[in-house]
Amino acid sequence: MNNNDERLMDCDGAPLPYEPGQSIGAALMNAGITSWRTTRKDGKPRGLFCGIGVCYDCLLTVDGQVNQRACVVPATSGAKIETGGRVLKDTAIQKETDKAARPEESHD
Amino acid sequence: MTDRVFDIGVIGAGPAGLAAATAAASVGLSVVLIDAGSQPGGQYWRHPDEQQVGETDHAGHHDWTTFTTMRSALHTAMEAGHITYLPDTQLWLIDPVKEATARRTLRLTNSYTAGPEQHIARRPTEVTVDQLILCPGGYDRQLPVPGWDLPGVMAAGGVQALLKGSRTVAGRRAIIAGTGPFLLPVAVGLAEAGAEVVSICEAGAIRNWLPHVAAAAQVPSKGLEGAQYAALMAKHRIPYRSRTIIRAIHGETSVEAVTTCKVDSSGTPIAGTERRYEVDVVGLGWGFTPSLELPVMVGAQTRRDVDGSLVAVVDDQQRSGIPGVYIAGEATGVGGASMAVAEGKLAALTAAADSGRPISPRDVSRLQHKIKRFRGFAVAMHTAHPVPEAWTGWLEPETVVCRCEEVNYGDLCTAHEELQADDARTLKLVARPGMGWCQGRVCGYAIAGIAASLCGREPSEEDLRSQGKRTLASPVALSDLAALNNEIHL
Repeated sequence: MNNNDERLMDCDGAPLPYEPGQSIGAALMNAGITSWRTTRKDGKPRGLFCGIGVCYDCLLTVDGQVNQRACVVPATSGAKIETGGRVLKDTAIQKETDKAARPEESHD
Repeated sequence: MTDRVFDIGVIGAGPAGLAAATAAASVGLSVVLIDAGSQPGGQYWRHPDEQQVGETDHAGHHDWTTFTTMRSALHTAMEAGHITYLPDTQLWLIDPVKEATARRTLRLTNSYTAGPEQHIARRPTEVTVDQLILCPGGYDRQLPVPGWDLPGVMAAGGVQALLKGSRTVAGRRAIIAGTGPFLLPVAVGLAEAGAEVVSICEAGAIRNWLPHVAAAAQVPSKGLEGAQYAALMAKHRIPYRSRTIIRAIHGETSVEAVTTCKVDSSGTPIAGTERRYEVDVVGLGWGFTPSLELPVMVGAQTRRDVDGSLVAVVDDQQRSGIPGVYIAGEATGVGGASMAVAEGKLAALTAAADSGRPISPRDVSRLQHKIKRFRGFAVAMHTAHPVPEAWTGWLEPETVVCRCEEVNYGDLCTAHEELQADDARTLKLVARPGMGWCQGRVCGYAIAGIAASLCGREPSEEDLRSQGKRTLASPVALSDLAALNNEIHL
């Protein structure tokens, strides 16, 4: 059996834990990350939509293989995920950092 | 690897495909079962990867023993060499029949090329078959709504797939909206997993069911399922609001809130009924869209079904009209898993009979009777849960319709008004909806409806078919195309 230390992937250089049987998309959602790509034209954030491999909204790069669907690729120990990083910074991770950095603002 | 020949190729290992493959093997045919998924079951019996998590409790799965019985039959047939099972494999092209052999070559590629080794192992890139049973299934049907492209907004089936496949809850506060009985298990599944479900918004009226009770009563198990969901909805205090739609979805970088409103029987919003809910996940589903690219690729006839979706025409024994090609499951009309199983079995028996094997006529008529009963139920369900006719009135000019190519409703109106695009095919050529990664799978139904509404008419089979035709059934690498070696002309 894997122990917890081994159940880690690398997402843009940050450790991303996963549960056995999860897809990469599910592992990202579990970590509070809902988008990992921006659209070509309007730069809109995108993540899981159909969740079953039909819509291709959730594309990312896994182990150097481009355009993989996060909703169908199973999470696996040591997988290297590349999203381009921009969306991750703009959304979940950045929000957490902001909250930690400016706790006093919540009293305004 | 390149000279593999089978009596039958079965495409899809969901309810219809599993039934077809195991039934074909049981009457002595050699079968290749090709499935894009990692393990059998399709979307309906999606479950966590058993190689990783072992057997699970399968809470929320209906007819689980139907599945495990067929899976055992699959394993037995695989061990005996009667079925070659190719999971994680995408069929992307069906060659035309070779005149010399009357056989078809199926071009295959991996569903994905990264991840655990056992899933991306090299598999045959082509197999050749005498007969073909297409069981491609379907996926959630979508209507665009302002804000539906925000992260956190998902197909209801996607929310369900996360739960059933990955045991992952899509968010903490959810709203589920659209039409049809499938909204119930999605909402209940989320609540059982610990999320708060603030509402189910059903566009139809509950009393729509009353005229169809007789048909529904032909399938008593469905009544039982309904009662179970009603009890679970009461337990989790999930409000069920009929004649209610999501009017708009709000948020900056992900969904933060929705506005709902009441609609009249045509689907026109009623002013002053708006309500706002703070949510972090939205599940949308308007029935199901059958996957029609493979039936259309082989030249099968299509029609617009009672639910408004494009489906393949088959005779009362699942023959497509194209010699050697049979179609079963949602692709012949959305009807649920039990109907798909019966159709898959019937398709296998018919294929066996057509290739000279003896089969029992009693089995055939028993299956036909079953299918008729399920079809009656499905028609009642579709009639009670129609897509509201006035739905295009919910769109704003800036509402994204095609998510891939980022084509909004205003672009489509302009294409109609200034460039005389009067049907879905011309809209697609002029404004590019349906030309991106998903090839119109998500927006095709909506484009057909928008084209029709811009011209003040009903959507036609041709509107739908122009969105359902795909030269290749999935994106492939240029190297796959190059490997065709000028053998065939696309």
